[in-house]
Amino acid sequence: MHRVLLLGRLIVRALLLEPWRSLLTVACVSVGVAVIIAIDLAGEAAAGSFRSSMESLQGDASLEISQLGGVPETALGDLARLEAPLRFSARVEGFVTVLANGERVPLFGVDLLGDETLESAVTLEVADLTTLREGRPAWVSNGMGLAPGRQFQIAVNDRVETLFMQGLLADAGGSGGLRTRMIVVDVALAQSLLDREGTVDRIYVHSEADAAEQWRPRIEALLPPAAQVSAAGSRSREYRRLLNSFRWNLRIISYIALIVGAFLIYNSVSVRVVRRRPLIGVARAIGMTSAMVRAGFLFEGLVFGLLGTLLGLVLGRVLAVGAVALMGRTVESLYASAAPPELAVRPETIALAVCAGLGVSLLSAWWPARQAASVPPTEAMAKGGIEHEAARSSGRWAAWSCGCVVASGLLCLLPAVDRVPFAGFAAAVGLIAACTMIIPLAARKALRALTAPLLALIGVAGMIGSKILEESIGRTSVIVAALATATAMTVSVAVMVGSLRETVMVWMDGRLQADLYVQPELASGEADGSTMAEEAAAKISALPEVALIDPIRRYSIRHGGLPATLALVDFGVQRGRSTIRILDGPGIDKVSARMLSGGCVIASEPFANKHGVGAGDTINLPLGKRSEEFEVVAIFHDYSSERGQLLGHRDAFLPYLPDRRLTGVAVYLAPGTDIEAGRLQVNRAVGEYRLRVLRNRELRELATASFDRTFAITDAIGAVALLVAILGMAGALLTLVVDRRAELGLLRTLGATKRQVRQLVLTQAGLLGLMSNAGGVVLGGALAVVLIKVINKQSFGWTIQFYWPVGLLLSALTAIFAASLAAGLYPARAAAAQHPIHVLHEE
Amino acid sequence: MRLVGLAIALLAATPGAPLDQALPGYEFRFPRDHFEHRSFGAEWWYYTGNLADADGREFGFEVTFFRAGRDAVPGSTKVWGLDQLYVAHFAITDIDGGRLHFRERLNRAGPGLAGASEGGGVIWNGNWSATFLSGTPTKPVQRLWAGDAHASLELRLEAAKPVVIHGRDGVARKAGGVGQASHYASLTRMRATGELVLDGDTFEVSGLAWMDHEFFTEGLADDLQGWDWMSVQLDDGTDVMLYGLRLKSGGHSPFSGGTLVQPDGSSFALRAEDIDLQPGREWVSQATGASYPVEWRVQIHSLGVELDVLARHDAQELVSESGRTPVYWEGPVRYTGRRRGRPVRGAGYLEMTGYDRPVEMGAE
Repeated sequence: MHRVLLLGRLIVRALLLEPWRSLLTVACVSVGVAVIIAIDLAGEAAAGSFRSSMESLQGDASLEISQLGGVPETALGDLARLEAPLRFSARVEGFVTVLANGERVPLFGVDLLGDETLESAVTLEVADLTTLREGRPAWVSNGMGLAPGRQFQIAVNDRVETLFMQGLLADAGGSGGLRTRMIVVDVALAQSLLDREGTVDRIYVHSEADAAEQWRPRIEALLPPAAQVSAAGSRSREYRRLLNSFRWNLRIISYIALIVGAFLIYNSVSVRVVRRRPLIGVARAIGMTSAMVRAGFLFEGLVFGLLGTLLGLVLGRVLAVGAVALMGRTVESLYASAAPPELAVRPETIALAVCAGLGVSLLSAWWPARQAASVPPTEAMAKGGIEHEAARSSGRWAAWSCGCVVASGLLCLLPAVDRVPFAGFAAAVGLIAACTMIIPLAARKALRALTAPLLALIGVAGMIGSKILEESIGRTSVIVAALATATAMTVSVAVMVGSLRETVMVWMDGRLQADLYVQPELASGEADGSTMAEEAAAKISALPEVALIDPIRRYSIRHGGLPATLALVDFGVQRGRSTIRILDGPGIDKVSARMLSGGCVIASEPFANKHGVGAGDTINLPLGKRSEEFEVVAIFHDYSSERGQLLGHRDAFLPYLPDRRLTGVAVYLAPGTDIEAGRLQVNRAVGEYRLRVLRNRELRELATASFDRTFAITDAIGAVALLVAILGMAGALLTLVVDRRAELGLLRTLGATKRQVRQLVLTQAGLLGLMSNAGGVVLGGALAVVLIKVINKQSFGWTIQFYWPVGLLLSALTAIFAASLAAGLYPARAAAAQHPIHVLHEE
Repeated sequence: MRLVGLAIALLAATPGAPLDQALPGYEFRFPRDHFEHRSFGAEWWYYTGNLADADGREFGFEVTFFRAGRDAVPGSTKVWGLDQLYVAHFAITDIDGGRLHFRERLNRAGPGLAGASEGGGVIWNGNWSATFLSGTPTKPVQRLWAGDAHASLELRLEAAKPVVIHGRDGVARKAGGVGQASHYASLTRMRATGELVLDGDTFEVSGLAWMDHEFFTEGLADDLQGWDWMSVQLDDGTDVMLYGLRLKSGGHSPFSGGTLVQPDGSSFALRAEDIDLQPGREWVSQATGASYPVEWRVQIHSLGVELDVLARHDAQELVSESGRTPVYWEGPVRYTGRRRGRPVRGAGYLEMTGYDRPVEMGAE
């Protein structure tokens, strides 16, 4: 037992002797763990607990009834008379903007008189009947800056309306505020505010005896055929499913940051193994078993892992605040307005951190520990054996590398599992492995090739620096692999986001051809549901400055258990000047002609990929009947949303969806009309409505800003990975210097100047940076291909055109190179400052 | 005589409301007059009765549909308008088990949430309903259903006597002023058979039920505190309705009275001076502190009737969950006594209002 303690002490003391290096390794692990924690926490907060804010007033409902275009309210009367232990609760829902603070919040209409289930969802003090009848009373969440007993204004659809704040809302228990900010009014008022007379958006089914499911057939029999009955909260679950692939993508990126940390632990432990080979030899010679040696080095990895994990947990919690803000925005811009995320550290998160931190540490210490344990005592006392071995086996590693590339290629052919491209992720890991394996060979070849130029450029110090790296190729490779992986991550994410951005921009150029776009003033996002009066569109159309208008109506629909959009446009207008680009199917003119005849739709590429639909297939939509068949005439390019989109001819859908209000209007001005003048006329014509008239350029800017917001989180993770790599670089160089103290001391005694020693170390730093950059670009490029062609395609269903953001990449690579040089500065000074005699004496 | 205050409490006072008033000369026509009269401000349908299963286990039930309306103001024809409000009460008394189950329901007419339509032949509030199935307009057969998660009641109600119109000349007067009256009709004896489910136990029940339907506009006179009302179904085939309007100053108003219905269905009105209602033992409510006489002595002088009235279950105070309807006591009673010297027994329902506070008028 005391022998193990002895070994432990040996290792801990060694760690304490080199505090900076130990600290850097711990820092790498902790940053890696922190990123994972932050992403997990933020993901859970923003997506895991994701609730469509529209479901905030669900209460204890077990089923919900919804219908595209709204459930006819008469259905509620029929249901209410069903002799069953059930209660039915109607909701009218929409988004409005509180003018006092500009906040966009959901507005709910509930039956304030008869709804007995309301108290399971929200607490409010109902007004007297006169107020209810005539006072336009509204109940508002706390913290919205509104005072009870006062009037306030909201922008709703294309109007401004005045409400009276009757009281505050509290949660179902009545004890606290609600998580979601909202306004609640009586159902009658909500219908008139949101232009939904005659329909309700949702009917919840409550059952005290938990018997709702057994009554389902009776319920369905009373509903219009197009109504859909589903488990309450399905919409949230569907959104969560939609978010799932997004979360997996972020998660994988965060794991790559930890892989970088793993390389660094591996490096750190193996350096110690090499340095202490003689000691190990002695220890083995006097009776220490190989198992004990292995345990000792594993213990070292464990110490790194433990410290890194603990620090990582704290740091992760801090980073999560920023991550949740970024991710919240992404979730909101990609999906729908959601309840503000709440950070909660769950046991699972801690378990994940411990698994990740300790697991990675132990795994990366395993190999060097095994090596330390496997060498016989006699050989261990002779130095340098491990490097010979590394040099010998580099050819074999290269062969393995080729195998990994092939395997990765094959993995790319596999389909996704519920839209999560696990095979794609495995392929990415395979590529990283392949890169790691080829690096020993590639680095040696590169260093050999560079010997002569270095001699010419920097002189003998440069050449010796390069030679030292070549001689210790095993360790050099690990450092290069770590930095190359980090660089590759940066490169691949930059290429992926850059390509998507460029693809979207090109698509927008083609798609957004109208001069002006008119929409309800404060509408936001796709799931917003704001509408404008058709008369407003007619007034615009009548202007002499206007050549043509293209109205659009969007509905949020659910298809195949996922949210999607049904957009209705006028294909008569589209005809001849359509900006829709067909991906698969007949030409756009033929498509337009077919659309006019009805009974068909075209599907966006993400829709087609998500639901496995191709041109010529039929899909069922719950319109009129429980499911009405529509032919998918073609698949079209669309990057407007990750939610799949179906496009139909508006007139053909009006029999099913008689609501004539519009989501927006695209306006083509008459030739020769000044755009500003046109906008002025349009604004004047619709002055009585609260509408926003955007120029083409403004809409594009809005779209671009929204795009950049969406990917802010991805950029942030990339930056953190780079930070890990640079920390690792500094640690690795420090290791190199400390490790080569004897050689450097010898060089000094042989006449090398301090300047030459500095040059030598900086050359090494530069070489490592350069090789990492090269490796990073190659690996990054390969990863980008996987990201774009496999992972993104499977996750989101987009075809992204490959595009290299050259400027961005060059600056990133330059930064990495500069950072690696900078990381060499301190080790270089430290090396130069060593007293040669002392060093030699020590050895 | 029923909950005048209830309807008034639900109504906002509308100046110059051109609603109809209950005036003499009203001619009842059935089946039309079984259903709602939106031109009157208030209306209710009361179903009460005493039931027993084959083993003799006894229950009382009350299913009541109230409507409170006001004149149609412009723009009030909206589906979700608040001009017509419907309240319903469902109470089951488990006499042997000594417990009361009470549930209240409030709705506006909405998209078919509540109403009383001649077209559909149904009076309903949510899924509680009384449906006219068959029979003649004056001797109908109805189906009554009410239920919630703990109890449900399904009854077939077959009228054994034709509809009785209370009062004189189509009105039952409540005070001296014009319109201070109601149009009031009853089915005083209906054979009830059906199924009662209470906390998971199912009982096949039968018994006698009573239905009151009353509509009017004017509220209770200012000098009244409340009222006591009884339905009496004697085992000799006679039915009696009695009501005493209690004055704030004490004693019963001279507008109190009742109706006697003979076994053959013929009926005549009873005057205040014909009847004597003497309260006995009191039960004190824990919830409101009100004291209710749960034993009475009733005399109908002109008929030589003397009856002891005993509540089958004392704790029958119905306190509205929403606080939107007045508190009242309503429960099954047993009658024992003599009619012209011959012993007579019977069952029925007792209603008492205004014991916690005067039944208010005109307030929301």
